[in-house]
Amino acid sequence: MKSIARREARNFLAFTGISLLGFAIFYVYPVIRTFYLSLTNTRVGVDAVDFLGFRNYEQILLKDPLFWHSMRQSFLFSFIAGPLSLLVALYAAMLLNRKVRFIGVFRTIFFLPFVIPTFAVASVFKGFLHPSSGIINQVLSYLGIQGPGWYMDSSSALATLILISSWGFGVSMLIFLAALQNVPASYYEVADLDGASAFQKFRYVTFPFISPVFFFNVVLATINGLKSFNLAFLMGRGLGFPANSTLLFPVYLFVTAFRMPYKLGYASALAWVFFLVIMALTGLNFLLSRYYVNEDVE
Amino acid sequence: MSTQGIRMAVSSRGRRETGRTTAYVALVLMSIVVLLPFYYLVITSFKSFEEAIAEFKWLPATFRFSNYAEVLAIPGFDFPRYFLNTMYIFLMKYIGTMVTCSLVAYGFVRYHFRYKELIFAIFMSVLMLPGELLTIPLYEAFINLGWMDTYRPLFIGTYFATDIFTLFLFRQFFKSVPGSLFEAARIDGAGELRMYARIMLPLSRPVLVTVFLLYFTGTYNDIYGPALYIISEEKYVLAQCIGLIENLYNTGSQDFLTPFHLVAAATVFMILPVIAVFFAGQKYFIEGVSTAGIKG
Repeated sequence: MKSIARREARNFLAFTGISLLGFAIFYVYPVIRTFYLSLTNTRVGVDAVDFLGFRNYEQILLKDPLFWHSMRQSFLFSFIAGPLSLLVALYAAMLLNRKVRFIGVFRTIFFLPFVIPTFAVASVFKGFLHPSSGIINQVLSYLGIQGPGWYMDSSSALATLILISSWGFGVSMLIFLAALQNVPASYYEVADLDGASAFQKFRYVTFPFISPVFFFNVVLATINGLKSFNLAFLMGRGLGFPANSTLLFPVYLFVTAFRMPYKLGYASALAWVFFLVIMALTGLNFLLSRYYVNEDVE
Repeated sequence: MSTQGIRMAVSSRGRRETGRTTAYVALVLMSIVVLLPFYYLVITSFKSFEEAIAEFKWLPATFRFSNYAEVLAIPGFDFPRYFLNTMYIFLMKYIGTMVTCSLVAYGFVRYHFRYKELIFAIFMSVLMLPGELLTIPLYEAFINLGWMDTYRPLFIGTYFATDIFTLFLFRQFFKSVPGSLFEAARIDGAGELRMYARIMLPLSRPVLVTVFLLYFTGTYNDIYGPALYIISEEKYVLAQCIGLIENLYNTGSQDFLTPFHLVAAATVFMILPVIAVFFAGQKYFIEGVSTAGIKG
């Protein structure tokens, strides 16, 4: 008996050993090392390193306006972009859930933006929304409206990021479509017999069924939105252009760590603060989730 | 059925018809919004420089197909090279992940080890970590190894089964394979590695395809990694090279003219492969990202 258990364990380790090693090198070591660096003023190319204790954290929380600014931009971005794009996705999914013709064509069209790489999205929208040569301001001018400066103007650049990222609602739409197709058709038939309006059917049949999926994905998208980097990095020329308006927190961290003067220590402290913020939100969501997840339906 | 009931059923059917028309109108409007940027892209790629930077016109005076040739002829802009660079990174990552994650997942599913569930739970927990928490020490380490301006930092991790999500996909899939297949093979005297290679791998084609698509688009999309490690222009990936065209006339001032017609033509070149891959593997792709989307 014992020898079988030992052979099993030996085989297990032979197959999984590489991942245990990888986990130690690529996850455990970096997390610990980042914490250590956060207590120092380490920079690239500077050999002298001072141990600062928690002074980096003090600096971040008390004396770093860019930290608060970039956090604010990230929160604004994710708390609007997350729910907004999911509402669009839910609406699109409900339209597709009717037994309409060409559903496959519409589904493919709506999903297409998600396939386009972010750098291509950014380069297309730079032209598409260009204040003087773009399509949208041209269309607005037909209506007699002077279009905004979009990504070129610091007062509208963040809103522009939110709109562009909502363009990629296709994935969430597929998830909602799958959820909607689980609602038994008989419920709608009964509602029809009772003469329920479209809104009543949504309120009393559809919504209770899909609300767990919907809220779960909204929260997930909102928390993930805080990590959003690519679009802001590209639209903001890598530095929050114009006037730091697109300086989301991950972009600020990137610039601090990996551009002159390469403040790895300080950026490590930023990374830990960020991690704690995300953990706090995830924990909060865990506590609140029992209020919005409708147990009867599951 | 009472007359009232019939009237109600009829009126509800009528309402459903109007509802259907409204749905079509809404679907078409949404499609236009979604497709308009694509229209801009294609039409701009055929315009002249003057047209592309002037007030927007819905059609160019003449369709300049030559823009596409012009993009390929920009001095110092080697499009095929950036494409091959990107594909090289993609292949190195894909091979690394496929080989190691499938072996490791096989180990997790096939063998008994008292703590294996705990180990896997710990593995899964890192999916929550923001990448920022991991990047700085690795950046430091890759500098010390002299790996700056090489592709190694971008793919080395995949050779240690560090893609926990793919590991999870393989493990879920392997769990569904009946153990009796292996008992039969064992009786026939097959060794452990042989069973993995002859039974498990051929069965896991859906995972291989899904991960292929996720990695293809993922590598295409990666901006963080190349921005960190790739410095020389001849080593650029596609995600970086678009900046070279955007800044073609950038002399350092804040307001410079972007040659939008060339940017558009280059962008068309770049998204064609992803769109082709998407349509070829649409079924797997949608399944894959739906799961990935739920996982985050």
